[in-house]
Amino acid sequence: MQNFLDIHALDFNYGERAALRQVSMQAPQGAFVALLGPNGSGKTTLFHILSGMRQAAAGSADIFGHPISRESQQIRRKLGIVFQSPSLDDKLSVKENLRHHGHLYGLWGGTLRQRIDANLKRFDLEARGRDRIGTLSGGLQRRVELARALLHMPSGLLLDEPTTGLDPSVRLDFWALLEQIRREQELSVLFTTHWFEEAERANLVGILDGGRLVAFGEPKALKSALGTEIVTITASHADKLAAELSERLNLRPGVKGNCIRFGDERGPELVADIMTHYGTCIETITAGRPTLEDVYIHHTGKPFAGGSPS
Amino acid sequence: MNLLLSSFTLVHREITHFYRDRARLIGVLLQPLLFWLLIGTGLNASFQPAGNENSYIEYFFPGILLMVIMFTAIFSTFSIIEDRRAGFMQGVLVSPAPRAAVVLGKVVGGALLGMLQGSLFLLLLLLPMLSLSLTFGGLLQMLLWMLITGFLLTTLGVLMAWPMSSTHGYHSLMSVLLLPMWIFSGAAFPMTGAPMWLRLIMQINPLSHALALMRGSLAGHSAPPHAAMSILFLLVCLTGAFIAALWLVRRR
Repeated sequence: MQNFLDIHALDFNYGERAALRQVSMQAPQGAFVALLGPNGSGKTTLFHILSGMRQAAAGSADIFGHPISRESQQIRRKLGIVFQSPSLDDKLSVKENLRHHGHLYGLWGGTLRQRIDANLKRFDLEARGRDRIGTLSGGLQRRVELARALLHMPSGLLLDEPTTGLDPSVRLDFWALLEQIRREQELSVLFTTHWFEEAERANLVGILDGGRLVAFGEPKALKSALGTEIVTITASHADKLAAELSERLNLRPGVKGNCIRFGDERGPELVADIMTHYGTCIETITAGRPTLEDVYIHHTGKPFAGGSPS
Repeated sequence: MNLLLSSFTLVHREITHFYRDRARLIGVLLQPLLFWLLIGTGLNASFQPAGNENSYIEYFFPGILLMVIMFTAIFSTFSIIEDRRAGFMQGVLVSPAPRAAVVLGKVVGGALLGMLQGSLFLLLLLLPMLSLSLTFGGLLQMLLWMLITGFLLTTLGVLMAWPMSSTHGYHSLMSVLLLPMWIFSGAAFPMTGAPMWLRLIMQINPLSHALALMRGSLAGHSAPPHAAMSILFLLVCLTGAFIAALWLVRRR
């Protein structure tokens, strides 16, 4: 079976500035891939290259076994694409938008009508079929975007920050719907996000930083590679404290500003130990299971600029 | 097949937009109407076009018709700029629809709408104070010239709008290119009295030929001197512009 994605040493430049550098990744069919990174990390550029809107400067990318440089037509038929900004015509009704989209993918007549009706039903939009897009709420518009992208029954779905601008509850609904469709249809999915909580949903996560793919793998594996517990300390003289910790307790802490971090299996016991010895010079200290944020900080050496949706 | 279906659907969208957007209809028809009435009446007393037995307001009529078609073409292509970055066109550009359908959809849509609005403007000929009129044959000719002119102007609009990243850029290109083409087409003053260098410019301006043909199909106007040459020249310009637009849209 062909892989969903086979990307090798992809480069892209905006003039002098390198937006993607030597990006490589593989994902099997049926994978649920998240591209995680702050703004400017190159994730949207990669999305643009995969969806055929830009051409890579060097390297290769195959989607379902078709090289994007030569067989873009085959790829276009197999992919559904949801953009960050709306791609629906708000002067037209839901049905009219779907009809135009179907025509662009070579569907027409009875087949198209059936597909439209089936998709409206599936996305719980039957009652709104005749309504203009401009009259729908943001969450409903996103659902129509999804219905539009899936109308031609693609094998893969690419989404660029699909939940930007949605309320937290609507965002949860969107992910639940996507998860349901993904399972029913055995879709391969790739989405970009700058939220760790969203990336946790994927079964493969790629972390982009300054155009480089600094980590790629299952979220669980990426996290457990850091150890079972992560201890985070904030202190006003972090450098001095870190030096003492590495000397006396044989730890290898990383320091950034007034923040110290390290992985250690002892977790809570170690926290108690550190508190008894250095309690006076510590502001906060926590121990917990590593998160994707810890993975990001570990690989990039910097705090995350993206953050959390809440 | 795919080209036809996707072009058809894009033309259909243009037309749906048009009849849902009343403000646009008013903008495209009202401004030329005001121009015609104000400038036409203002100059009517003092200006007698050389080599022409009509009054100025009658002379100006086909020029205003050309303006209606030009405004329609501009309105149709204006949307390209924003539609492409954040809108419907994003989905079109990643679909399997051939890029030629993008050009064809715009151009056919813009030309049909131009012809439709031009036809509405032709109803003014029913006014009793105008000595202009249209025979049935003249009307058919007029529709054809309006269509061809619409094709040409919308294609030029696509050529100008596609490389633009903002609507401001399109505005300025429009006022240095399309508006002068209209002014130097014989729309506002005839070629006959103009100095040699200006006549030369007017000769190579495709809109002069479009206007001469449109003027010729109105009864009460003299037939254009070189109709066949004008048609040929228009078609050559249209083909050239269309090929350039295809190249541009395929490239990026």
